[in-house]
Amino acid sequence: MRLAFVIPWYGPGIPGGAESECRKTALQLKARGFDVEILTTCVRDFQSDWEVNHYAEGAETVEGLTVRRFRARKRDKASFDAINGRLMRTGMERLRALRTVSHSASPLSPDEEETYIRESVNSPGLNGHIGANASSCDLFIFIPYMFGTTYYGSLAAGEKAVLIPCLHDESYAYMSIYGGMFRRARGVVYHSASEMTLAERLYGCKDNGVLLGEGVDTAFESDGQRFMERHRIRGPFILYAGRKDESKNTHLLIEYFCRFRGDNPESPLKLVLMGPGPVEIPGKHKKDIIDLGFLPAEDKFDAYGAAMCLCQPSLNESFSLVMMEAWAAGTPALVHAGCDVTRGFCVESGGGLYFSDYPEFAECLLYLFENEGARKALGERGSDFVKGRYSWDSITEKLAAVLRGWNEGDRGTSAPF
Amino acid sequence: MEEKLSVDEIMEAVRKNVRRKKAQGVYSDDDIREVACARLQSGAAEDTDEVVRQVRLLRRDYDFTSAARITSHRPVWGAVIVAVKKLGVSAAGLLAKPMLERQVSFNFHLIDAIELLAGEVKALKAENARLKELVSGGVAADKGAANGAGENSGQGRR
Repeated sequence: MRLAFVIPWYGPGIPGGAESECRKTALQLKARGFDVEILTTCVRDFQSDWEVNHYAEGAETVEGLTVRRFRARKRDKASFDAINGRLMRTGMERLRALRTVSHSASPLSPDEEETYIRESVNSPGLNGHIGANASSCDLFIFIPYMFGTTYYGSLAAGEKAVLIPCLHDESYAYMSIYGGMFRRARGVVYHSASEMTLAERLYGCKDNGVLLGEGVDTAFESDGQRFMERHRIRGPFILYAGRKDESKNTHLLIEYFCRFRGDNPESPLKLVLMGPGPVEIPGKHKKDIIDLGFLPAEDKFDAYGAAMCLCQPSLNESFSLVMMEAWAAGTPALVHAGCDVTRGFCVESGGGLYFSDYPEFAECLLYLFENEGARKALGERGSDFVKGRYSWDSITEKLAAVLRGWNEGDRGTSAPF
Repeated sequence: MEEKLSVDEIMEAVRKNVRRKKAQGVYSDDDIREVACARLQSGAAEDTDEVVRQVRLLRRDYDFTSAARITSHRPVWGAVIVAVKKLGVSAAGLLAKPMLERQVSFNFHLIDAIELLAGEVKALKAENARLKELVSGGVAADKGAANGAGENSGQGRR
């Protein structure tokens, strides 16, 4: 069976949940006998300029997979930024209320939506390739949902389009242009029940989704002591791992942690940040908040083992790979109660706590710090949950079965695995 | 013992600590206000009624005269900066307060009126649903009667 994954940028070193999932899923499927290739643009990654063609156009072999790169088109950045700015400034509560009126209600006009998609990452060459090869490829798998490569690519793929949307409850998701894309797709692979419910609520798609989850590396070694020594960290710490920006709520975590240190001056707790992106740390707290920047995977896995807990303050998660990895290392999670996905996983697995405001954040930290037995028990329950449900073997077998079914003409099924 | 606690039980212990410390004054009125807003938001997210949801949003924002927390992260100059900011806000407040208070009062009464209407709409919707159920029940009974014995088939249509 011939599969093509379509993603805006691709490479072994690119950080990001969707990028990492695409690469690992493609490798796992190839190892199980599928004929898999990657279709992408020449853009380097999410953080880079989306019209700069960093890689040469053409095909290359990366880790045994054929990667075909196509030039990204020039963008009208001013138009994109203006629309993007408006979307970002629209409150989520307003957007949610708007969508309850109708599935087609949008904060933008149809023209603005079209401009937004067209002026994001786009490659006419990539779309042309998909259209020209639609008959020879069994399924095109698009990941994630919001970029031009997915929107126009899925139009070109027609009935062979499959989405792994990585959908979050975020402002972009409220554009009505995505509704048709979700409903037209042969199948949609969801990471969590909350993500699937969100897609139903936003787009009214009910009959083509499969709740599958996402593969997680669970067999890694995690040496906490090695991490502490390498980075000269003494004492307990809470860990943040991932891109550091406002959409991930990193600023809230820093603000709450600074207040926590102010209220608990005797506490030895530190906050360790890991991942790309700049961050502003108040001068008074530079010793308490340590930003290690982007680290290799080995360091990340060691950090999980060293941390008292992993804090995931983001409201925009469709799965949270870092939370799953921390659980695999036996480390409990502390998440924002406003994110249905991460809070739902914490309750379901029994592996983490959640906060909706500063007092709860502070008291959760104090509880975890003072109750080692409970902390370990939370970590163990999280570990059992992720190893039992999301190991690569288990996930890939299920995905392979789903893709075969869709190739034979089935539409998705709502039945969860 | 604590190893056996579920997430819900731990969260209840956490909330109990929050309540105790609020009573002791550890968490300030600002914290309590933030808590109230956060709970309102999460409650609103669960609400499926559009009108009720919009009213809740209005209720959250009607009083814009409440001063935001004035803080500064600067270690040495922080106290001075906070004092200057507070002075500025107080001075501006003296001039603008009478006008703003009238606006806030108007907002408050307007939201009350909308809330009354929202309640009325909700009650009417419920009544409408009940009536529809009664009507469809009657129609079903009619059909049942029509499919039954021939001499009784006309009675259900009344």
